[in-house]
Amino acid sequence: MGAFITTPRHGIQLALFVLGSVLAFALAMAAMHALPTRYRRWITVLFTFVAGLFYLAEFVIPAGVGVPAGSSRATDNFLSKYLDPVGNASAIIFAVAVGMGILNLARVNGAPLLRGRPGWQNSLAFFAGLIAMTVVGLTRWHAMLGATTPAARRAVEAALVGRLYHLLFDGFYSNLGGTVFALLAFYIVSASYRAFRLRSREATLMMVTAFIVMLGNVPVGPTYLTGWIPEGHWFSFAKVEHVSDWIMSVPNMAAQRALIFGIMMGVIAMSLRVWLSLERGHFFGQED
Amino acid sequence: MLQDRTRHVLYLLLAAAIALPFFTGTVIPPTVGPEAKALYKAVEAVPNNKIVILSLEYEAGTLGENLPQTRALMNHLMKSGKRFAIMGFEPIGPVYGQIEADELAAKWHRPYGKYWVNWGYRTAYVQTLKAMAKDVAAAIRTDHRGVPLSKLPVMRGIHSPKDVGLVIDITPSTYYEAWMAFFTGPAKVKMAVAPTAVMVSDIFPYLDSGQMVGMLKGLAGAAQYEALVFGRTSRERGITWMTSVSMTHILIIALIILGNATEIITRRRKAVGGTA
Amino acid sequence: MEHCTLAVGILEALVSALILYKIASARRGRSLFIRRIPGLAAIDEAVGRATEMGRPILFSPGMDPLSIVTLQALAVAGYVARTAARYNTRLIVPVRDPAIYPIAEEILREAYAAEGRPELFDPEDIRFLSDRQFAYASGCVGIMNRERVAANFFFGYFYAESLILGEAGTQVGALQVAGTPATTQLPFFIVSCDYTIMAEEFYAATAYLTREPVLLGSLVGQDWAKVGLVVLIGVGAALATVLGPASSVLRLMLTQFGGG
Repeated sequence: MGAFITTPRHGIQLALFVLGSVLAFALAMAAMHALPTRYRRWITVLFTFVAGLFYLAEFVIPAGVGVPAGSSRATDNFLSKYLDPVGNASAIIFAVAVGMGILNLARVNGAPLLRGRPGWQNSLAFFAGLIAMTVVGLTRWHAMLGATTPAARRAVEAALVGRLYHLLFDGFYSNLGGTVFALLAFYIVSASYRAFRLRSREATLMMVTAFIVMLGNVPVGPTYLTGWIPEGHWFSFAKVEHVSDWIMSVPNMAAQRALIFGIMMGVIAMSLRVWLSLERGHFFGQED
Repeated sequence: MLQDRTRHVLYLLLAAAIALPFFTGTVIPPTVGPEAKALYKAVEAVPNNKIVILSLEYEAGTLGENLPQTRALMNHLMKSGKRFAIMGFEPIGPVYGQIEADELAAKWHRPYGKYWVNWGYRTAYVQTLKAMAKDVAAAIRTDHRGVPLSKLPVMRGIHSPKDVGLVIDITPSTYYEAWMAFFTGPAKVKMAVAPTAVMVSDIFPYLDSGQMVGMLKGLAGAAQYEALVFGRTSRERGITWMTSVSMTHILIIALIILGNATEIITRRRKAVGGTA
Repeated sequence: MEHCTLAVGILEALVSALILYKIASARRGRSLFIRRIPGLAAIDEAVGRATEMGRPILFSPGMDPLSIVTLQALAVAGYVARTAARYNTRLIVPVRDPAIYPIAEEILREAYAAEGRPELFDPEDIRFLSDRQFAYASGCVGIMNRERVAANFFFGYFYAESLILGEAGTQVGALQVAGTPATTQLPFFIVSCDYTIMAEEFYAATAYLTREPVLLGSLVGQDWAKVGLVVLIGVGAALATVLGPASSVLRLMLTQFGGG
């Protein structure tokens, strides 16, 4: 059964396999919908438990169990070989959702454009960008499929489709991403100016620490502020870069470890609740 | 809440602080920190029969920090004649890496395929890393143009993870955790990271535990590394750009002091006015 | 480690058993105390403010794909949606991962239905913006400015776009509550948001908001497990100090716990 599912297929076999999988999935969903709610919930709980149990068991069962002695898979157990197919199956299911995202975008942006609502220009820009990038990208990809030599690939890049692709990707997309990221610099200035106020002793301590770490991380601090202290001198501990390094590698690291520790405990507890279907709240359903 | 006018003045001052060093040509020499020094030593210690992997996970948004880091590391690797491979689990990183490597290869006379290779963008990072932990060449198979790795002299003798001398992850995200969990940890390969500055505090526990051998702390780390490779007074990209960063840090500190001084004076005036 | 060692397996079993014991204990009716978390207590305040101003609320469930963090964020979104439905306030939920979109839609639809206001639910208020980080941030900023949101909720895992979201919300005058386990983004949320829920408080959110015995029991169990692990760390640190790093006992502990 495992081999039937994981064996690579090509051509008409692949198409039939995909069709069969979609059909099987649709039938399973229809059956689920037809069931009464409380049976549906129990099937969901069962699937969740079995799926989580697979990963837990794969981790807990020691290496070598269920694997022939002398095998190249000596670091695995009998469940390890299913990790990749199960992971790939999950990735494929999630990839289906990309189409839903595009449909949602088209629906949300289509209405203002068709009805001339305020902001229709933004919707027009969305459709223009989506269509242009899709057409140009797919055309270039198709052209590259046939370009098997470096000279052929250079010819594709020099052609109209290649130049358009680089205009859209390098000219628009990359630069727009960099621009938005650059906004952070301005926002940091306004946020720092607004937020760093001497309201309490803790706030003062935080500000002084921030100043030291900021100055220690840029050349101006070590070069001009404490550059006069020779390295190796008994007073060299006071050099701003050493103080900054100490702050980052001792108290900061201790605090980071404490935060990570607490976060991981929270992750373990929540993962246990989700796995055993004990999680409560609107998404997870109320207690029976 | 900040008034719009105040905010606009702040933004103009910031723009001036960033731009001024480019016009004046001022460069402040960096002081090399222990993390950059440790990474430099780790690269120097890589034997000639092993390969260094540069994993480039960044996109256009973080080029300002990650590209100088990439360039500084490539300069060192090419200068010292070490073999290296570039790859990425995000599509854009290896593209930018190829552009930088092509330029530097011409400068250092290190032709593609003989000293360096581009393994390209790899999907399914967990599966790829697990496969690499068993056999690197078999997991990658071809370079980014589809040329079999067996045909490239740079890959001669590179098969198992033991043939990898160092992995350096240049990233604005947390792919280094996957590298440590699935490749460098199980295969006991040395690992370093060149993150953006905001992620630096997260990396210190790994340096302390020895799971990482060094780190480039954002653009400052790139500047420090360039100082090690070319000297403190060189005018490489990281060193020149750090001067602008220095100016902005001084501006921010000055504005915070000014803001607090204004608030204290206002509070005192209100208190005096209230008791009068 | 690829597979757990004996010590890690025992530790996992003990931690899980403690959490499950406390859950069982809470289900039997034992009352449990949980301290006040200001950020979570401010959710009602934020929704009330939006209702008074007649402006919508924005809830961002973070940048992660479907994961434990996102599930927790969506659980909080469900609570916010019920409160918004009760006050007849519009809630906009932009998502980054298309796989989260149908889940968010279902949560909000059920929340509005549970409050008896199914007609208030507008499917177009759940929007997939982009799976690219800064495109998503730009989209959220655009929504904040066009819709003039009165309250922002940022719950989930965020990266560099956290300050962009926080500052943009500050500029439109929104009351902002952020909750994230991303330690690198906490400083940005702290300076730009009115309330920040940090690290493990994020995972306590559903317990705090719903006061369900199962969740409270799990929280108490997790706290006790933490105490036990802190004791273990103390024992390890003491052994390392007394015996020195080369001792065989320490090497065994390091190997068993994955460091060797």
